[in-house]
Amino acid sequence: MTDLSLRALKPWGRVDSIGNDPSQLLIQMETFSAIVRVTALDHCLQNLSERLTSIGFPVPRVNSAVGEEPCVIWLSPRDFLILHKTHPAGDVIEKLNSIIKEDEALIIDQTHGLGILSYAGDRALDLLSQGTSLDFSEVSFGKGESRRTSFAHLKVTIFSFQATSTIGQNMWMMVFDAPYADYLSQWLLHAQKNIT
Amino acid sequence: MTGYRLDSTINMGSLIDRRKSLSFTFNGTRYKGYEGDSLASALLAEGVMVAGRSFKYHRPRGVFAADSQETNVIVQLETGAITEPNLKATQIELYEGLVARSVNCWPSARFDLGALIGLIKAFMPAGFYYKTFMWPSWHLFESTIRRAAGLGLSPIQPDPDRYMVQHATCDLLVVGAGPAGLMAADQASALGMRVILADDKKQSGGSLLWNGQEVGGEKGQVWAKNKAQTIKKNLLSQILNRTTVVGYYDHNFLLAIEYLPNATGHSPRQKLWKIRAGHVILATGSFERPLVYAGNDLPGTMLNSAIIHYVNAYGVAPGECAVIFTTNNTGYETARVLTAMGVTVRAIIDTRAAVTCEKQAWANEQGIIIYPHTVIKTAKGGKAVRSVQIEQIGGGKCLTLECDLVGLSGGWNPAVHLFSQSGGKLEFDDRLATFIPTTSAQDVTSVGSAKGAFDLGTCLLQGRDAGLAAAASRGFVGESTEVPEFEQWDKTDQDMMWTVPETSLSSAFVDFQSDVTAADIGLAAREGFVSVEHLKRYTTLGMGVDQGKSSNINAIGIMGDLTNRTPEKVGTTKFRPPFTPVTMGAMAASRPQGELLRPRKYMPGHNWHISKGAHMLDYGWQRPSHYPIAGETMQQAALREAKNVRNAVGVLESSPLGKFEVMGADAGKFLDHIYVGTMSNLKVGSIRYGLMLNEHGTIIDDGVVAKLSDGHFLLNVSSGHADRIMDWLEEWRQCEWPDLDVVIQNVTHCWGAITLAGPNARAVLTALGCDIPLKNDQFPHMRWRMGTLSGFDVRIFRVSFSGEVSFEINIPSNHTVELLSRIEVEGKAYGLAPYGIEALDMLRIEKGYLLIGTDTDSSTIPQDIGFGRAINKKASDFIGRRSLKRETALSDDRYHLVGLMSDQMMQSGSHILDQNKKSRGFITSACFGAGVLRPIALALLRAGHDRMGEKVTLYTQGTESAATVCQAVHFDPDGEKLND
Repeated sequence: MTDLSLRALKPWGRVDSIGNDPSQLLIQMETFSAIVRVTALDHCLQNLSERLTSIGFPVPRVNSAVGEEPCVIWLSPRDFLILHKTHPAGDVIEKLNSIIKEDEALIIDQTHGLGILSYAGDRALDLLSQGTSLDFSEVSFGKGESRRTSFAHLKVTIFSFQATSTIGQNMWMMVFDAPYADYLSQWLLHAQKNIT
Repeated sequence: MTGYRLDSTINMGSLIDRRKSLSFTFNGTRYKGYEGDSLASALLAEGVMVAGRSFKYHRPRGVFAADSQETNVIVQLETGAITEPNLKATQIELYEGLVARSVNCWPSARFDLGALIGLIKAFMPAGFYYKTFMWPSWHLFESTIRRAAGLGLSPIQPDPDRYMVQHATCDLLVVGAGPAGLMAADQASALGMRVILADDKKQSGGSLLWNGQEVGGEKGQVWAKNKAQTIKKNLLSQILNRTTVVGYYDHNFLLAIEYLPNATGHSPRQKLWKIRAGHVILATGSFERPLVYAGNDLPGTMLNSAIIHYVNAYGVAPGECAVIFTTNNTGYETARVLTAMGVTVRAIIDTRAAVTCEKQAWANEQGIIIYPHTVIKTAKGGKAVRSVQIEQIGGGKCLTLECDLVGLSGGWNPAVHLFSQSGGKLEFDDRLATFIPTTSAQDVTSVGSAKGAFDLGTCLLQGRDAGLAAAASRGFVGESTEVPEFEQWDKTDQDMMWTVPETSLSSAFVDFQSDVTAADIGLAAREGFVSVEHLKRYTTLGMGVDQGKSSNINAIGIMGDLTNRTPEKVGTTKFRPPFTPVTMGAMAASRPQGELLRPRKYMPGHNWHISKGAHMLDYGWQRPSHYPIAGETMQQAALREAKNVRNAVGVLESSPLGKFEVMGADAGKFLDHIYVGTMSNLKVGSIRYGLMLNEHGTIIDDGVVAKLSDGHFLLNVSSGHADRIMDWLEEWRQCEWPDLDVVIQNVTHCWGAITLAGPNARAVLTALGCDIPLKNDQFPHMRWRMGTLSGFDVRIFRVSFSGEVSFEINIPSNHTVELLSRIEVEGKAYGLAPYGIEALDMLRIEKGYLLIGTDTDSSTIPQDIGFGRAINKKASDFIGRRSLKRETALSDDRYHLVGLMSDQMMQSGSHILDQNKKSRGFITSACFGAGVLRPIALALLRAGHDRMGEKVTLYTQGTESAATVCQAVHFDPDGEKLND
C-alpha cells in the first residue's frame, strides 16, 4: 500500500458499521495482492476465453464478475480486470504472459492504481443508492453481475461478489481510482450519516 | 372574514391533534395552533384575514386555497441562514416556534404603503413597463425595476442544512395517494410489482382526508389508512409521504422532493429522489377553478374545496356568514358542510338555470336561498369582503348580500402538469370545460380526477384498472382487487364560465398573485399578443409561485372568447418542472458543501509533502503550491524554490501527469492521426513533443510521446486534461478508426512520478545508485531509459518543463514516498529542495513553455505558437489539419504567442493596448523570472510574431504600464542548460 492508501483509506482499515451493528452496514477496504488489467487486441480476442480457462482463470460473460481466487471482471469486450487476494501481481502477469503474446494485449499491473471497497448489511443499498442510479434489485443486479457506473461523481465498477460477506449477507464490491480514496471515504462517511 | 376554530364537539378536525398545542409567530405576532395544522389553517383559525399582498398592486389578500394551488399567502419562513422564501402557507406544516412573515409588503401585510401604487393602477396595465421605460433608455430604469421584482429574500448566509439524494428504481411509480392512486398502488403491489407511491401530504388519502366521503362503509380517511398499511406490508413497495414529484423527464425519470420533518444535526432536511420507473400512474388529482368577477380577490374569498378542507381537516370555519358562488355541485356540498358546522350560508349563487327539486328542498330546509342563473357581479370590501352584488344572467334585478366569506367554484381542472412534462398531449373537453390528458408519450397512465373523472366511483375503478394494466404489461398477472362501495357525488354537471358577464374587468382578477385582470388579457388580445405564450409573457400570467394553477385555464378561456377561438385552439403554455418551488439546496443535493463539492484527487506522496510544510492547493489534484519557510509569502517561497532549481536541484512530484499506454500494430499510425507531429517514426528509447488539435484546428493538449517498444508507446498528457483526453482518444479509436489495430490504457494512477531538475540533478541520481548511464551523450535530452534507481525498478524520462537538465522518474505508485524520502536524504549534499507548482510556473514561463488552456484559448492554432513549420513538414493527415488551411487560420492578424519584458511586475489578464487604446492582446502568464531576474510574461498579441522589440502599453484595473515585446523564450534560448 502506498502512503496515500494508508492515509486515505485509514477510515476503512477497520470495520465500519451503523450503530455498532455490522448487520446494518459493513464497509471494508479490500486488499488484493494483484489487480491486473488485460486489454486485448483484435487478433487476441478469438480464443482468449479458452486460453484464460487453460490457466485456471474463469471467464466472465458480459457485465459480470466470476470467481473468487482469482475474480475476473468483465469491463468491455476487450477488457478484463483480474483480482487475486493471495498471488502477487507479478505471478498473475507471468501466468498471463504464458498464454498471451507480447503483441496481443496490454497487460498492466493496476494493483496500486485502483482501490476496492466492499459493502454489506441491510442498509448497504440505502448507502449505495445515494451515489449511483444503478438498480440493485435481484432481478436487475444478480449475484456475479458487474456494472460500470458513476458513483459520487467518480467512474467506478460495482460488482456483486460471488462469496457472501463475513456477516453472511450479499456483498457488493466497488473498484475505483486510488487517488480518490480519501474523497470517497469522506463521501461515504457523509452518506452514512444521512441514513443513521 | 373572521375565521375561527370550531368547537371540538362540533368538529375535531381530521388532521389535527387538539391535545398538542403549538405556538408560532406570524408577522411578529404570536399565535397558537395544533399539531397537524398547516400555517394557513392556523392563521384562519386565529382570524388572520390579511395574510399577504399581491405582487404588482400590493392588494390585500387572504388564504385562498388549501394546497399547492395557493396563490395569495406566500411567506418567508424562518430567519437568518435557514430562511426560505416563496413558500405557500397552505403547504407549511405547523411546528413549535415557527416564524414566518408575509412578503412584498412594508411595514406589514395589514398596512402596506406599497398599496399606494393601487392609486395609479389605471396607468399600469399589462406590459406598461415595456412601453413606458423605453425612453430615453431601458437601462436607466432597469436597476430599480429589477430591485422591485421578485418575492421574498434569499438567505445571504451559507445554508447550514443538509440535503441528500436517493436514487430509486421501481416497476411502477404512482404519483398521488388519493383514492385512485391508492387503488392503483394496492393492485400493482398485490401482483408483485415493486411500487413506489409518492404523495405530498403527511398522510395518504388525498381528498378522502378532508371531503368526508365514505368508502367501503367506513370513513374515507380510515379506508385510506388501511389501504396504505396493506401496501406497506409488501416489502417490495414503499410509500413516500411528504414527497412532491416535481419533474417528469425522458425515459420515465422523475424527480421528487421529500420533506423530512424534525431535521436536526446531521439528519438531512430534504431528500431529492431520482426515480426511474418502468411505468408511471399519475393520480395527481385536480384543482378547483375560481370565478372571475370584480373584487374576486378580496380577503374572505376562497375556493369551495378549500372551505370544505379547512372545516373537515382542521376544524376551522373560514368565516361566519357565507355566500357560495358556483357553476357546479361543489357549491352545494360546501353549503352542506358549513351549515352542519353552524356557519350561516346566506345564499347559493348558481350560474346554472335549473336547480333540482332535491337541492331546492334541502336549501329550504336549511334556510338557504338559491339564486339560479345568477352571478356575483361585484364584491365589495376593503381589507375583507363585506358584501356581494348579485345579478341574474342576462340582466335583471341587482341584490346586495352581506357576508364575510365567499366560496367559489368554477369547475375543476385536472392536474396535468406532470403528464404534460412527460410529453403527453392534452385535449380540451367541452363537457368538463378543461384540458384532459389524452395521448401518452411515455409509459404513463393518468387516472382519477387527473384524467377528468370527478366522481369517486370512477376514480377507484380507474385506479384499480390502471394498476392491473401496468402489472400485466410487465408480466405480473393475477386477480384484481375489489373496488369498494362508495358515496357518489356528481361534480360533472356544470356551466362553462370564464368571466362573469357585465362585470368590471379591470378589477376581475384572473391571476391573483401577479395581479393580471381580465382587462389585461383583453389588452393583450387587442395588441396582438394572442398566442398563449405571448399572453403569458406580456401579462406575466401564470409566472408566479403557483405557476398558473388557478389562473391558466380561465385565461385561456377568456382569450378564446376574445379571439373567437376555442380553448383547444388557444392551447396551453408548456408545463415545465418544477411543479412546485424547490430549494436550491435540494437541487444541488448531489454536491455536498465543502470538501465534497467535487471529487478531490490526492497524489501518492501527499503526506510526504505535508511533512515538508507544503501548502496544498487544488490544481485538479491536491498539489503543493509552495513550501513556505519562516513567514514567506507564496511569491517569495516560489522564487526561492525556482532559484534553487536554476542553481542546484529541485524535486517535484509530477504523478498527476497523464500517462497512457498505446499498443498495437497500428499504434504509430493512430498517433500520427492524433498529433500534429509524426510519432510513427520514433525510435525505441526516444521521446517526441506533440500537439493535439480538435477538428477546428484548435490546440487541446500537448505532451510528449515515448516509444517503449515496437508498436508500444507511452503518452504524457496534461494533468488537468488527462480524463478528457482519454475519452477523446477512445472516441476516435472506437468510433472513427475502429479498423486500426490499437488499444489504449490509462496508467496514470499506476505510476508515481518524481521530477529532479537542475544542474545537480544528475549527481543526485548517481548518489541514489542508478544503473542507467546518465552522461549526456549516453542519455541525452528527449530520451527515456529503464533500469533501477536506489533498488527500485524505474523508467526515467529525460524531459524538462523547467529549462534545466531534468529527469522524470516513473516508479510504481506504492514506492513513491519511499523514493521521495531517499531523494531528500541523498540530495541534501547537492542543495536539493522541493519545489511547488508556483515555482514550476515561474520556470516554465521563463523558458517559454506554454500551458494549454492558460497560454492558449479556444482559438489558438499551432501557427500562433510557432508550430507552422511542423505542419508543413508533416506529410500524413491529422485531426484538425484541414481547418488550419481556412482563411482565418492563415490571417496575418491572429493572436500570436509572444514574450513581454518590463521593469514592473505584470499581471495575467492585462490588456495590451495599441495607440488608439484598443486592446490588441492580453497577458496569459506573468511572473518574476528566477533566472533572468526581472518581470516577464507570456501573451497572446495580434500579429505578435512581427512585433518583436515593439514598446506596448499594458492596461489592467485602471492603471497603465509599459512593456516590450520579445520572444517567448526568455531564458536559455539556445537550450544549453537543457542539453548540458
